[in-house]
Amino acid sequence: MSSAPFKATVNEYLEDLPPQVQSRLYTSPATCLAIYRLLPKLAKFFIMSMVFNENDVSLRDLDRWVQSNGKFQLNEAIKSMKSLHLLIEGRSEQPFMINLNSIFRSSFRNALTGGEVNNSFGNVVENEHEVVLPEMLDQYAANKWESILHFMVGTPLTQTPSRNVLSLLQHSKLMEENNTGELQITNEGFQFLLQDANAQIWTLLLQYLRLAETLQMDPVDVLNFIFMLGALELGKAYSDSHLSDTQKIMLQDMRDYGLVFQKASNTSKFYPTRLAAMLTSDSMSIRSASSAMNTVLSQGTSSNSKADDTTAASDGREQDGTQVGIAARNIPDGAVVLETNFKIYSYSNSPLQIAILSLFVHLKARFSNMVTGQITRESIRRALLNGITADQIIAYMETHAHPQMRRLAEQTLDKKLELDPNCKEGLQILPPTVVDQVKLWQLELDRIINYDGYLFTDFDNSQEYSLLCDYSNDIGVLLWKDDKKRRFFVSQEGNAQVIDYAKRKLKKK
Amino acid sequence: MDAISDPAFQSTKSLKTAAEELPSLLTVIVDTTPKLWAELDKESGQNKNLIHTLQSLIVFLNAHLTFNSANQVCVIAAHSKGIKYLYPTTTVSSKENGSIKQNGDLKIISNNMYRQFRNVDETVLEELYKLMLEEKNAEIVDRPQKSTLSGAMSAGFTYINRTIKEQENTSLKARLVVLTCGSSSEKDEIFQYIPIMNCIFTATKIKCPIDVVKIGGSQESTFLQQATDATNGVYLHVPTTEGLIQYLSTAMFIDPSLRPIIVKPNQGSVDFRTSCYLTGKVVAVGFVCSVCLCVLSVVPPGNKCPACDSEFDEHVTARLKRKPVVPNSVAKKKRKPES
Repeated sequence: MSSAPFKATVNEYLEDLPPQVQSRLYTSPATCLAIYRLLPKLAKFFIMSMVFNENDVSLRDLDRWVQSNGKFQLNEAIKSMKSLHLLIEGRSEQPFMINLNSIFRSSFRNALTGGEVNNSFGNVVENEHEVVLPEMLDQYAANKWESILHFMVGTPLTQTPSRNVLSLLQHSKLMEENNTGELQITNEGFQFLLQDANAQIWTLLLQYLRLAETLQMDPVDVLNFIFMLGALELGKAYSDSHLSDTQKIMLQDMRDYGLVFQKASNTSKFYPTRLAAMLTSDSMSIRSASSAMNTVLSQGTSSNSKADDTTAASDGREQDGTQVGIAARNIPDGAVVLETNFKIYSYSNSPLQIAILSLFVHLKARFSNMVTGQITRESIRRALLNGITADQIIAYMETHAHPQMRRLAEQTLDKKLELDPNCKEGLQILPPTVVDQVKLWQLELDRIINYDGYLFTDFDNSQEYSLLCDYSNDIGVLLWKDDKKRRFFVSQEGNAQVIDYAKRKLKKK
Repeated sequence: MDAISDPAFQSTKSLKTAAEELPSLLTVIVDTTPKLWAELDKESGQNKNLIHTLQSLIVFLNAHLTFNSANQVCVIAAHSKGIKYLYPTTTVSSKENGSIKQNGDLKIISNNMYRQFRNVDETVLEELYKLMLEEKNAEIVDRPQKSTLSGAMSAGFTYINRTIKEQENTSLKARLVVLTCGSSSEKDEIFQYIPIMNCIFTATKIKCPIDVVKIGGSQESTFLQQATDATNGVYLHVPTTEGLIQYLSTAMFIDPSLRPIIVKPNQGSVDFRTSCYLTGKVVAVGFVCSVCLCVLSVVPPGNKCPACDSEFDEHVTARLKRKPVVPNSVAKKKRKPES
């Protein structure tokens, strides 16, 4: 949810690419896989149903698959597929007949069946002597990434990230130089901090892509590499022999962000970290980079990667007895409990989490495993003035909500649905009073809204006035009216329509 | 009272939050009893039906893993002598049996495949290979084999339940797909009625839909059809294994999060009748054991319930056996025109 605006920009970036570049992208199975995962889920369903079907499909059939309450999702799915040129006109060239992009189809099929994938999923180097443990990689990635975040928050005594990172931060306007030449966090920077890790990495990588374009790097190469990184397996060494020159340069930069790890002695091999794996996974599985990694570090086992790794799965079986116990205690770091009296408790010890919380919470006390605070009008206003929006605050608290709050909300929703199956409400994880109040505090700030438009005055009679006024109201462009003084105001877009109507009607007389 | 705590802002975002992506767990129960597949081969005049099905199954698993990177799979084989988890494996030493890996049977899995897929696919194939080897070496027993399908379904539900409990934080959704093949004898299915019904109750309790693909065979599988109907699942009867992947990737690919908005491809009517425990006849009106609710079309010999062995009251069964007393039919006919 919180990642929605930023994730959308990944899609938007891809949509903005010219069709030729898109087709070149689709030749890589790994990229197809990653793009597929970025699509809305209904689009995923449609694509899957068309991958093994060479014949044209009628748009009406797609429509028939979806119930009437899902039309919104249907339109969204079709729009996203069309703008990525995944859906093209059918070969029969009849209206409403569609087909899947043939390049995408064959690459995606290859990805699914393990056909010709041309090393797009990386080249594993099997070497028993140089095993890098996942814990070590996690620590490395956490160090690199958190040092960037800490630097942005301005925690004292943090090491400064490398020059590349700094220039990227500046380029993306997350930080800017102040009068004394020091880097200072901007409004966008504050917003950036509230995103989850997945969105944060994507934001930086998108900036990297824009930067890369100015450096004459081929976007296809860059994107292929990024998507490939997301598909690699944690804890395995990959050789760089199949990478293009552009990608080798990128490897150095990715090392600075903590996405890959390289041994100083041997730069021909690289190890993807959990941050890289997060690129193509969604925010729900890993709620926050630091929290996920902290849990891993504190557990000291690789039970989190159970799904990725069969050997880990078999390890997991052995420790079943202990694992259940761990799972019960497995509360993500930084879990937030929010009460209806605006009190907030965060089970976190990391200075980063606390620093982020202090952006919009009036922190009161700190204990060995948690901090407590209060959401006040002042604390929210301060955040709002920093350029953080109410939605972002709410989204942050929602994604970091304590599992218990989530469960409670699910239970209440279930109860409501039992009473009234047509209930349209969504899941309310946070107390609605607090959510509403935060939104109200934001509304306080923007009391004036300005519209561009045209004012209509000096009507001869009230009949003429009401004729035009009603018409503009009917077509939905009326913004304001004053019946006594016979004046009304229409928006800029609607003006031409109203004038046309006036010419038609008033000429007749 | 609740109205006070309702949010004052009706956000348009609710449509978007509904589209929030949740990982899901796919549990596949595949019937691998060699006898059944051999019968199907004979019937359809087509060889290697089982191989085709398994190929499609593997691609289907990959497709599910593609849908969301946090998606998980579990494959359970219902074999002639019990069930076996194909993935995740219960055997710890999957690495030690490297000999099988180089055997050439795993060559169909490309080395460069996406690692997530490869890990799953290799394990599934390896375990299947072991299963078939065991089958080959086993002595042939003459006594009729009972289907282990319902047992495998129960195992699937226990796995789903455990995984959901373990990973409460990710609010995992689950579904169960049963892949079975047609020519299972009618008699066999009857003894599955109670276990399958229990599975249905479990499924509704944990809100897990059951999808069923039945390959070949002329008859619909009544109980599995009821299972899908009760759990909001999809029932598909596929004539051959040709093009099976298209069925799997379309009708069976409805993620739990998509279920509310997708029209399910169900064929018309569901046969809700149950079958007689003794004769296997499908009955519309019959006798029911008051203890285990087992349905019978005849009063059982020996006054004992064949399912739970509870004894029936003789007086009651005697009354049930009594033929209706028909009064003189001539007298009836006479009376009718008068009224």
